[in-house]
Amino acid sequence: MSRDTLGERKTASAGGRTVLGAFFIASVLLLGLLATLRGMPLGGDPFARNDTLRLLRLNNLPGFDLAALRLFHARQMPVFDVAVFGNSHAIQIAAEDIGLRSGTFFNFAVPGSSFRQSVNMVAALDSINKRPATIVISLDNLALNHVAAPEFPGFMGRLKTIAGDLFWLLSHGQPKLAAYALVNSARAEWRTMRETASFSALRARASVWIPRTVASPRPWVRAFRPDGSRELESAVERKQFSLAVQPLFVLWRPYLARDFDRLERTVNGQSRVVIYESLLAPDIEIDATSGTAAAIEHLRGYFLSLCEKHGFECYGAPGATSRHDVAQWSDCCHAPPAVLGPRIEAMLRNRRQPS
Amino acid sequence: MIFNDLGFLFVFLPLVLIAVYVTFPAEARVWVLLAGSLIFYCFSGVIHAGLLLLCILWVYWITAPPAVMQGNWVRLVLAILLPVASLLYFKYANFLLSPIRLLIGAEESRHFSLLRDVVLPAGISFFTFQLVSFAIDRFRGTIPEQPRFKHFALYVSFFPHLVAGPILRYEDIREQLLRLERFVPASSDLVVACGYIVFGLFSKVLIADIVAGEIAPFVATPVLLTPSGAIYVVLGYSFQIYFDFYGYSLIAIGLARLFGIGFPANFLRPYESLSPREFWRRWHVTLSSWIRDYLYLPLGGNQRYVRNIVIVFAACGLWHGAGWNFVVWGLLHGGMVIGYQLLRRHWDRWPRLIQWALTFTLVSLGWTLFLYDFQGAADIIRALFGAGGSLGPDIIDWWSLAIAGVVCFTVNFERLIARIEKASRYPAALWGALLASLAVGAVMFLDKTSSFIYFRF
Repeated sequence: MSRDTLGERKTASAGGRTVLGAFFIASVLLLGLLATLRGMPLGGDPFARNDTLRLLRLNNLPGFDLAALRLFHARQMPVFDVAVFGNSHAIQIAAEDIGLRSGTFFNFAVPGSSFRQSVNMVAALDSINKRPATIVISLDNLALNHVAAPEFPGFMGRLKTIAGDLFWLLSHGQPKLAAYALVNSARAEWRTMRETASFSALRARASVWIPRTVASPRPWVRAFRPDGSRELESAVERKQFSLAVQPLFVLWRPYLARDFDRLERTVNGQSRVVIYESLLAPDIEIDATSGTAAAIEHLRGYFLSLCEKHGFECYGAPGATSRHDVAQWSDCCHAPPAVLGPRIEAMLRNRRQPS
Repeated sequence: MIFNDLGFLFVFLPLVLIAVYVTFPAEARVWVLLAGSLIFYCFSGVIHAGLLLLCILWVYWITAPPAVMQGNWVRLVLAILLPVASLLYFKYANFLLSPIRLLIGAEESRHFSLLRDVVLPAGISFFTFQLVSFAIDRFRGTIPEQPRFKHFALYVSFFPHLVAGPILRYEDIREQLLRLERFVPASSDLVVACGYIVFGLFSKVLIADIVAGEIAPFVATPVLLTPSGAIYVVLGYSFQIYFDFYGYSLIAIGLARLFGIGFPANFLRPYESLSPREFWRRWHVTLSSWIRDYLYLPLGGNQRYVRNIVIVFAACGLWHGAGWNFVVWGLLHGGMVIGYQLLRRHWDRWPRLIQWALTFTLVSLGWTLFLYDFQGAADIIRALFGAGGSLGPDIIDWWSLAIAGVVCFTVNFERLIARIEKASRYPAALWGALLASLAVGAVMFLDKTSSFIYFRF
């Protein structure tokens, strides 16, 4: 900066302030833009065509974004005849695995999500008049006692779910559980907010549209298919599965009851609902000591009783399947399509109220 | 804590800036900045921070009496004893004892418990050189008056240069340290600081780290490389180390400017050098000038040219790392400088493009000794001559190196910053938006970034 005259100093100083002002405004705008890209289907519907590279990069996305892209796809399509909901335990199911042709089927599963989020997804489809005629929901095997807090839909939607949970628990005389749920929901909300602003998530969003923004998914990760399904990852190590009751186990019963209630209200008898307990590999041994196995049996009974109450078709997990099946399993908890597909196909064909 | 860390950029730095500029009375600013710098260093280890403080106190105490220090060899040796001994212990003890270990065998050498699991304090080579230069300058009378302790301690521990330079002389920043109490940053200071920090982050996060990621699969298996694979690794690492260290230096200059302190330039576009000697006048300038002033000239300078060049470059290699590969790297550069001196008449007449290409190729090949041990470097050389395997990059793999090369040879960040500083209103807004785009881009990748290569020195 020239300091020969006062005038020049003023000009330079004004320029400096402009640089700084533009820097801060542009930084805020850019970060804001990236944050609002959350779930925004930039570049169109990734499931509309079989672009393997792009469908592969969907694996980098956080669950919220993947759910939003699935909803965007549903918006563009006619109402599906059959749709599968769940998480990585159900995502491998393609149309042909259950004897359907593509176009009439879509897999809405979002890896890492829970039954609660599946119900949210059904509600979101209902709100845009795209509720499928037959809804198949994978409920995590009760041995996994997975109760993840919903991370979609948006902030207001999540607040509504949390408020509804608390009201439900309080109205059912469970104030302690309500307090516990409040703390857990607050924690989950904080995680979700951090995820929204996380740089790796922002970069992952960009990666779907701009190649090489992040490293390609690892070699064993498979691309999504246009029907929303994804082949099972091949290199997941087959580890010894150990079962332990997790802290959120105490919320499992009330949350399940509330989610069944929400689902019934959403579907209102106008769609067929099939809920099945996901399978575990037949050679997995669940420790029968410490009352865990008994607790699982108790929950299974509760699950089936809720089904009866709400008029859904439900299937608990069966006992060990044949030894032939074992070799097909690449890990403890993700059933291969060759095992799960025929099972779901049979459920759809049976159209019965199982006990 | 490192500069390309979210915690540093968004928590530590703002807190230190606020603490320094709201401190009342302003006379306490130096103390606040000193405390901030020591806290910064504590993230590298509290014991290491204690060692740093001890060395500062030691050198200050020994060099304190003004009349006695000048020309007093005993005091000079005493003053540098502790910092040099610390450097030898933490950085070189294992290396110096490796022949003994070889002699007595691995089983017996396990009894050297004092040397087991020694963690190298970050930047120990840098602050030791600063302490030594201060003691020698006091001995020579270049610093006639002992500074106040707070100024001396801040000179050594000021966090922007503490862990990877530039290597400062006290006289470089004496005036600015004294002015710190009255310093109020003008918008031009902030623009310049912002420019240096953003371009530094861009160099490190968006060029050096991305190049590193791209070449990593090839670096891991030198024995399998085709000639193009070997060229890819050599060129890639050459750009990686340049943008890594250059990025660090730019960030350091920008950070110091936030406190009104101007650091000397550490890089003068070294890859545009036309000879090995010129390279060392442009690469890590503060180290080169330190070695010249405190080692080469006292040894007799040009009077015993070959001997002195061999000594200083061996020392330079050893400064970079405690390993024979670093020593050989230094000697290689010494040989290149001597070779240039012998061929100078002819070399200087060659077309500039050939001079540049030879210099760049030799320097880039030399970096393989930074990247690998002797076996790995030999594998790379073999692969260059077609005696490797079949692993080579695809055309698409060259994109990051192409971008790095274009930026390296066509973009002058210092000149850009000078233009931004002088820009009038509308271009200024565009420059601001450009800086913001680079900053957001770099910050998005911060969680994937790695430490600076020169931190381990």
